[in-house]
Amino acid sequence: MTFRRFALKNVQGHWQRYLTYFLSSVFAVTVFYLYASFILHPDVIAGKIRGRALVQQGMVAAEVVILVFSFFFVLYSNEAFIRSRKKEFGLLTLFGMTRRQLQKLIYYENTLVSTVAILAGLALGTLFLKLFLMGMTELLDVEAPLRFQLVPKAMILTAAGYFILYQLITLVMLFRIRRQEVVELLKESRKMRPLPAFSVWLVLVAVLCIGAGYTMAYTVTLMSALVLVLPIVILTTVGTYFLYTQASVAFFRWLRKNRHVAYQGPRLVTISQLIFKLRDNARVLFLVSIINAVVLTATGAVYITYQDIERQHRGMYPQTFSFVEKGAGSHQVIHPEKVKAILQEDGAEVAYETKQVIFAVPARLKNTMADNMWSGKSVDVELSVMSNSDYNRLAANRPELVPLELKPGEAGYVLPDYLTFDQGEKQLTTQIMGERATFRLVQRIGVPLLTIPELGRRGAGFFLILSDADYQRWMQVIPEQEKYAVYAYELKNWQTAQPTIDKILAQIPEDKRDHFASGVQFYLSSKQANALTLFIGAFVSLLFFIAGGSLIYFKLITELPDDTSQYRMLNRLGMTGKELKRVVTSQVALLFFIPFFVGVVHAVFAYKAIGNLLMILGGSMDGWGTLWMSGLTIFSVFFLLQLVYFLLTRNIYLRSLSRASR
Amino acid sequence: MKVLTAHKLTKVYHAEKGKVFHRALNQFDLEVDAGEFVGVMGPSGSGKTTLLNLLATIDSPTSGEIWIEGVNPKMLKDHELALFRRRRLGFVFQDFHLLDTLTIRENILLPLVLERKSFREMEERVNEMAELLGITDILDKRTYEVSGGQQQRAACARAVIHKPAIILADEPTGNLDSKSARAVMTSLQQLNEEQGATILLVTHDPFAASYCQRIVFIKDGQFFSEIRRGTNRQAFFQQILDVLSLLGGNFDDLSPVRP
Repeated sequence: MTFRRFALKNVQGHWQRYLTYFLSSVFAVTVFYLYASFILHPDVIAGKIRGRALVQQGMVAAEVVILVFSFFFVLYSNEAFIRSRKKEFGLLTLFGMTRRQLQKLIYYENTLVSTVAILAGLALGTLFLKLFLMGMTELLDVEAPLRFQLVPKAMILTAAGYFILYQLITLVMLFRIRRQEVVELLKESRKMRPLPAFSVWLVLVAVLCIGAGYTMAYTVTLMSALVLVLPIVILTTVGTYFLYTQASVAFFRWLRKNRHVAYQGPRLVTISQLIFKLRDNARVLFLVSIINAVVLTATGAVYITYQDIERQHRGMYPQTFSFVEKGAGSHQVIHPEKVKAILQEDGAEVAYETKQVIFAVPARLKNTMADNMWSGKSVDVELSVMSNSDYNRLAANRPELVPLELKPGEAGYVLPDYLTFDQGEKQLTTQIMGERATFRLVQRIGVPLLTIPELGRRGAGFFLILSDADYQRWMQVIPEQEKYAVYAYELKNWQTAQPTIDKILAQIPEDKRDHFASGVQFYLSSKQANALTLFIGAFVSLLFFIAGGSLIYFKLITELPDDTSQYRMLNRLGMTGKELKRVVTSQVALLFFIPFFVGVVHAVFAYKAIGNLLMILGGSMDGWGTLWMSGLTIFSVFFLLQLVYFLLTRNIYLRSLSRASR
Repeated sequence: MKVLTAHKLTKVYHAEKGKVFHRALNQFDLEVDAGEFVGVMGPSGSGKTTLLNLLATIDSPTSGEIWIEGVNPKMLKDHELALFRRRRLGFVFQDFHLLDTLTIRENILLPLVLERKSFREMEERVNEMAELLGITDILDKRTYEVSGGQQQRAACARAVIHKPAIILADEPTGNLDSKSARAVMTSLQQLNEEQGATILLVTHDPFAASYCQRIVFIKDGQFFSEIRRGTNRQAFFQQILDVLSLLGGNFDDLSPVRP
């Protein structure tokens, strides 16, 4: 048997230990390779896609994140491997293996595992390259699909990059193998096992830190976010650390003291072992919880934003498109008949269309947003004035609007949540054609009414609704040039209406194009940007998540031999196979799902904070449903992944146990 | 009354698809009455451990029958076997096998906790046993805080706390110094005499064996001879040494003469 063969045998014999580390590495290589293949794809370099620079930058950033993460993950895993093999190395040293030979052995083993991981990663990447490019083509909205083509540069970059990374880490590891007495290496690692202690004060710190972090996250607003984000992250992280090192010990010790809970069959064994397992693995569990929280929050943030785009967009653009004619009867922009013709030609179904004649009146507004640098500041705007019947006609098409019955002298008004009138919301005094006019404000409406081109007029989207009598009276006074006719169209399939909109826009004289407004293009591009972020980010998140699970898996597998001897003894004492299974299952499940659960709870509060920020942007409350549904979707996906991990580990555990107890 | 009957026990181990086989136990008979303290002695490789594994129901004989309180373990399923072990058998091992995540008290209680007995019964039993074995003041200590002898006495308490039909002790003094060994053997003797516990002790330590009432010698998997103790333990010890020298075999790990 050659030395290399010995290394090979070692790896084969320890395949269970390497399993998830290997799979995580393979996945990292695969993702890195896929991204590199895109960045270096000839079609991409030739520049056939819109927003190429941005997408490429995002992907390069993702590549860097993957590499840095791979470095730390591999380093940590390798260290743990070496530590767990202390006894084996001691035995080899006893047989006369020199330190140099030991280093050589580790070097061979690591090189073997990493080379196989790189090759497997490249193979897997090649297998999924076509699918990945199809996905990118779909998301990037390119004319010609990205061709399926192996990119040798990407392959070389990935292979070389990861090979250097692994070699570097191996060298670092080799230098760090200290000379230790053989006896030291051979000695049982566990002999003194005092019951893990905890400090009441530190438990209190954990509770207070997490409580404070959660409270801040729950109440955060757009403006306070800048100040609060860092404290929230630090407090929650510190709290989580003490949660594992202190609070978990306190909780399970309390649980164990309670005989009604603990002294119930095999549960005594489960709980008492769990105290040690949690404490021994506190740092890994803490790390994995934070990874889980970050992954869930980041994925959730992007996904929630993605899901919320439509709602937010509808808040800004209630109708698909609109245009404004200066002068109520003029048709300088485009004739409505022409629009009708184009719509018919394209077979676009109109949900409703409105024509409103409006005029502008000045008003001073005040910002009410809490702890905001604009808070209390005033701003002068020109409100759009609309008649009661025009409003009611609009309301008939939009169920979220409540019809009004205004009497002369009364007014309704439309303002975003964070603005109010400088004079308060009882009455409004304004000037119409140099004449003072005062209205009693009776109804505030929180929903934007019209998609409307601003034409340089601040406050075009803020409305004052007057009774028909008042409106008619003022209309007679106002010169034709000061009246605006707003034509707004809502299409049934507005998401796909961009070509039609382009056609209409083409019919408008170039100097009048700013009289036309449509948010469809904006909607599509933000949707695309978000989908892209989601797609690119998903793989990185997944990688983090898988690596986190791998750390727990490894910890459990390392403890397997110790556990096996205990379980064998328990089996002799008459613990049935079923009871043993239950003990193992609940322990493994808790170790996997406690960090997941902690991550989920952290993420829930992060989502609440994200929601707070989005709601202010969107200006209404109906997005919470979408937000929690999105969150639930994310949680379910990651829960399923975690479940797979748990089942895998549990089965390996049980298999080894039943093999050992025979 | 017979607590344990082994009839013509034979265990054959096969290696590599039955080409090579080894007869670890051959037509071995054994009977243990209620309240007896029986020792099984034999040189290394004589089949002691095989016999104990068969009696402990964690291995099954190639041929022959075992009855413990009239129950034949062969007739029980794995699940029932485990339940049978924890209800009707008590175990004392060479390396104690206490769970280091539990306190001494919890270790002793374990068989009762598994059976979900009432807290009052647990408390009564554990106090009674601890007092009898002189380990009351270490009950709330952890395993690494007490000596090997104390650990083994705790293991004895665990073996007897659920009033099993028979206690199977496998080299209980193998890991102990002479003082601790004496304390443990005295404990077993007390359990036998004061609690009426039936004990089967497997050992190659003549000193430990001298506490038994009767010793069965085994050689190459077969019954060799049997001696009974009179009133004097010292004399019995000498008698054991005589048989052992007659028995021959590999007693290289024979303990030094201690009484």
